[in-house]
Amino acid sequence: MIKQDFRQKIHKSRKQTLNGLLNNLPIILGVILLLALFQKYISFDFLTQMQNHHFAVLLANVLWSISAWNPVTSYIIASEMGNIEIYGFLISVFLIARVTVGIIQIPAESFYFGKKYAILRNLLAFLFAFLAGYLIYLLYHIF
Amino acid sequence: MFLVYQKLKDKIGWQWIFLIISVLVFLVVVLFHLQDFPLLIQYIGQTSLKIFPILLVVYLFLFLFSLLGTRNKFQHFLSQGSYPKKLIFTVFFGIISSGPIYIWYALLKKLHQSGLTWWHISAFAYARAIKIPMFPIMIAYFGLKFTLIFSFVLLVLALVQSLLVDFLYRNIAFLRK
Repeated sequence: MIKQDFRQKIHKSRKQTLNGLLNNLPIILGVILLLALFQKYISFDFLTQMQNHHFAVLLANVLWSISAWNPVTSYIIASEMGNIEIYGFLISVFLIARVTVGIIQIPAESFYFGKKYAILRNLLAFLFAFLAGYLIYLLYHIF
Repeated sequence: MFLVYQKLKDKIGWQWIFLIISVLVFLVVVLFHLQDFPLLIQYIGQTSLKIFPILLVVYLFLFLFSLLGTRNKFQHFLSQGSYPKKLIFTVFFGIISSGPIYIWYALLKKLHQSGLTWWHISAFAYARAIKIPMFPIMIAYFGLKFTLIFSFVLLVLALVQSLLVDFLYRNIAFLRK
């Protein structure tokens, strides 16, 4: 009896999980398609050659927030931006925005958590990337 | 136009509309850059292969969650645990999680239904910038000092950001509606 109950429970849980997966798959596939386009057609190499680094920080934050490259790629590009002693702020903002903000993912985030939450969280993460960048730069020079 | 969208949304669900739009955008771009098609397929294949194991883990968690039901210690912690404890849990969870964040949304939603607030979830999203498996590579590129300061600041700000979002949510009526 207990065995049969457990079997039924497994069957129910499996059904629930598969339904959930089927429901979420279109979102995941859509994001993958859009990310492939971004990987191919968006290049941020020009940031490393910019003279005005304050503007580059702003641009880096905006551009990274619409991308989703793997961490190693972002380390390589960030390290090419210049010396960590001088451009620590720019590099930090770059690395943080890449992971914490995701404009491409907003439709997916809205689907699960609601539009207001998705926009508020991304907006705050965007602003916090600057704050974090500045703090990292400051602490790096203090210690 | 809006009415058509609304009808379609009610009929097939928003997620399918999103997929249809993404496919259309993809096809239009491919149409103008046919030579890039193999490379785009390669990108899609690489990303899919990368996320597949994580997707498996996420849905295994969801399966276990569903199997355990509502009467277990973890569910009790999620619904009755204190705010700071749950915050520490989500930050830790964010640090150890890997792969793109959109794969984790389904599990996060389940955790929310069990008692976590969305604002705990924002701490999860922020803490994901700390990547322990990537530490050796980060140290190689930026040095140990930068890596440690970077991780420390992000850890603190993940907590601060979560509290700020929570504060905004409690005090701005528009966000609660």
